[in-house]
Amino acid sequence: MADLPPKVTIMKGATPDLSAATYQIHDESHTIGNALRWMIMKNPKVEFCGYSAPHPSENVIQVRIQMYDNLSSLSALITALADLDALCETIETTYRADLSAGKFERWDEES
Amino acid sequence: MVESYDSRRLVGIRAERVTDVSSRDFPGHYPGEDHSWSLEKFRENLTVKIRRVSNRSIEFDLVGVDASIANAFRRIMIAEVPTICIENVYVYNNTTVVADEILAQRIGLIPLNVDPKEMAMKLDNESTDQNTIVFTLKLECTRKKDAPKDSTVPSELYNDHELLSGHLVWDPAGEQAEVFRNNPPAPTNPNIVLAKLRPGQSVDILLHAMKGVGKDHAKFSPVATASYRLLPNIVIKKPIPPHLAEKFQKCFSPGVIRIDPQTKAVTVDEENKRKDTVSREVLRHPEFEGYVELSRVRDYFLFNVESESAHPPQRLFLEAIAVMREKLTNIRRAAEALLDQPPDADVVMADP
Repeated sequence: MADLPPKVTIMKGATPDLSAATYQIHDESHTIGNALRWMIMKNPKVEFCGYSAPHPSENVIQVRIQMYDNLSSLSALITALADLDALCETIETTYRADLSAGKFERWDEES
Repeated sequence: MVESYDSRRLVGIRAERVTDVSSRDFPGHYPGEDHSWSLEKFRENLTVKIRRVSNRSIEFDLVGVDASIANAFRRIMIAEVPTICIENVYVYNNTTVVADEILAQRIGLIPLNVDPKEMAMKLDNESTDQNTIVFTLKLECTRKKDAPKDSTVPSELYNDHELLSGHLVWDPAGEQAEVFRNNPPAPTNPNIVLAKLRPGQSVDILLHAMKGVGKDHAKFSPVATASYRLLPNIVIKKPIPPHLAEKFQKCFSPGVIRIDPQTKAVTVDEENKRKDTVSREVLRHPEFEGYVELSRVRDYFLFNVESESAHPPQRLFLEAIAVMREKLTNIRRAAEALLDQPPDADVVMADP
């Protein structure tokens, strides 16, 4: 099997301290793009964040992050990914709790 | 009890437009307010309420998340939760009127009852008992000897005149007989007609089923539908005149508006308001102008998921969360690898 391109790359034009950079994420789509953008924008140290899926023939998304105070956008990205994971875990726990509580209507559906 | 929502949570619905669609809960949007991410606050505001579950579908409410998160789960349920489907069809003989490639396409769409957890994704070209399940499909149509002379009904005239999904025969390989002992691989529905046959026609086909995801081919999608809508919100601003009560009620879906039989007082049924289709019919009538405000709650998602796979409907959302977390872990690992590079080393630059 051919070698896969790296999952995350920093695109040309990033500032040397990475306070403003565009990250190209391979094999991802709006699914991750929009959720990740939302979580990055929840960070008060982020000046700007946006994402795009440049073209349907390219299996990538590009996430642009610009920071205040010359902070690293890479650590903001990593923090946001960790926060999203915690968010998913919380939803999973809550869903499981409600499912095992079993207080819902059950009905039979013809298939 | 009348529930009222913070106006910031509402998407306004006017006669010809919708207002306040985008979420604005970001730091810096409202001066002096803290909207930065806090897991504690999120946990406090999050509600998941399962409403109805059947053997095939589930309805649940997901409250307190952004649309981007709810949409991620919806998209993953449709396109990225893996299932098992027939991928390779080897036709040794097919003398039916259905062409090989049409028949192959139909066979591929059959939902199988195989739990995807029991199988691995086929990554290279090597088939093993972990990633491939083999079926055979053999049928020959014959004439019934004792058929009534004047009959025109195929089932009275012929044997095996329909090729059904139930005719798939599983051919265990390696450890599969042990792994699938309690639930042998088969179609979830044995009555899907794949082709119709007449005496002398026959099929002899070998099939390989494997694991895949819906973004590769829709046959791998584990759901028939996975959708959400926002909770409708109806606010009656001033009492509806009694002589217009019934007309007002008819502007909404059945059960949404209640009229007191004695006083003719009009109220919104809080339990049933989710049934409203938000047709905006009420906004077409000038006599109701100023009486009612329609909106939807921006972070109140009513999910409806129909399973069309081996997954019970209540498991699909959990599978989607698992896929999402795996994606996040992969990206985080790759991002952390960039962090370890010495500051002056050339970072991997993608072409602009």
